[in-house]
Amino acid sequence: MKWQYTYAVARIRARELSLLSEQDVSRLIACESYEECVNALRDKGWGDEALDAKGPDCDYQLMLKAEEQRLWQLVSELVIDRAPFRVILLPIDYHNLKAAIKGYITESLEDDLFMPGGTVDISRLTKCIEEGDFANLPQGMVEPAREAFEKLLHTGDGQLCDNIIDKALLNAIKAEGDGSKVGLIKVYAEFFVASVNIKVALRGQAMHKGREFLSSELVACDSLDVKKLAEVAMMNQTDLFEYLEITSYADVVPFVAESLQKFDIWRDNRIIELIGAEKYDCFSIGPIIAYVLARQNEIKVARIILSGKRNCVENGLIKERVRMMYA
Amino acid sequence: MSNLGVVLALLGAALASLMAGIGSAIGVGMAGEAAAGVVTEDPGKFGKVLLLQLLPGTQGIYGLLVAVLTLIQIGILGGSSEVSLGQGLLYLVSCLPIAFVGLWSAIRQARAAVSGISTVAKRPEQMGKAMIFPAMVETYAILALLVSVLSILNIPKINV
Repeated sequence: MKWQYTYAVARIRARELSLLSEQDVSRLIACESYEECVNALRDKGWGDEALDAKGPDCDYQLMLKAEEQRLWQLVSELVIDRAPFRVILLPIDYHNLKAAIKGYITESLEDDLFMPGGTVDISRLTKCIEEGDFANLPQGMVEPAREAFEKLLHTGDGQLCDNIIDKALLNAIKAEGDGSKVGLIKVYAEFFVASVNIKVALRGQAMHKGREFLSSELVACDSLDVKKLAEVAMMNQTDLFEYLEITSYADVVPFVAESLQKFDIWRDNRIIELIGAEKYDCFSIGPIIAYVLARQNEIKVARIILSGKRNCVENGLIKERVRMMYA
Repeated sequence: MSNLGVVLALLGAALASLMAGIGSAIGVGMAGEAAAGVVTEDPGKFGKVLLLQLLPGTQGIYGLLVAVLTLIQIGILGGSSEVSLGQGLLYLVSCLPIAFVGLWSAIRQARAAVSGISTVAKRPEQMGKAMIFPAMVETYAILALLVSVLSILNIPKINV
């Protein structure tokens, strides 16, 4: 079934016309008020009838949530098997696993701790944790969940619990990339793992973490020598930057040299560059995955702008935080 | 086996219509899927994508043309047929260009047409250019058609 995505990709191409462009983003930033910004997004087809009825001062989170739901509704119309999207959805599953473990142990299990849209049903997740039935969790979660649960129970160290599950997430994404035949999934998984490794190294370096922490947190990947990364992270910032400059992630250095907060902007921009090649493919699932990533990026940018407008942040500051667009 | 010449000529006609027809069916189907995808999102582009969908359909027509021409030449449509073994073999060989090129070019043309449909989905004003790319593939189907037709028309003049 070499051409099974022909219909889906053609629909995606038509949909790409409604993605926000760099000019649209500039126009949104230039809006004088939050209400004007919400209306501009509505003119682009954002939100739904229920939100329209609430007027322009509605909670923007609801609008963004509606857009996210609309995105996954489209995906379910286009593809029967959502397995190729696991690489994007795994972070939601592992976030929910963390929430279930922490919520259960601290006796504060609330629905709003969880993120919807993952591949693992939230009620299944909480039931497994509540009953201590870890074996019923998806394969990659069994051991990390057991370990994180026991560590949190015995030490009360939430950070340690997070670290165990975050590392398990990276291993799951790496396995997803290694096991996939889709080029974009392989490249995305590799970049995801490598970028998290860089972030861990940068934070570890800033917080003067030792070899033990770095070695336990970094996950082996093809594009970085993690032993070397841990080594230079224990030295000074210059050594770390010098190492990064000889890798394929040299372009991160100007961003993080300015501020660690700029790392996420670099990461998101790099993902948009990475998916750019899918604009010219008409037959594989790659363009659909690229569209999902582009749309999620767009929602993130809209959140930054709307939150800035609502809190009366200067346009220049908002502009600094927005990401590159796919359209 | 006195009519082996007729059998071979018929085999050629069958191959021409079968292979070129299969190629076109695959091609038009593939381009149709892409066209339906675009029309789902924007029904106003129906006319434009329909033209692109039809492009890989021509090979099937060429195959049919060569098959009918062969049937006329060997006299099968008239009820009686006198074809020597040598001539039958020549008809078979003459049908092969459009059979093979028709099959393959229809599929490749469909891939180009699908890409053209994607172009039209995003840039409808580029319709003309989007048509040219798949139309270039047509050249080779026409060349194969010419070779097949010219050969078939000239076989009766050859004494084999």
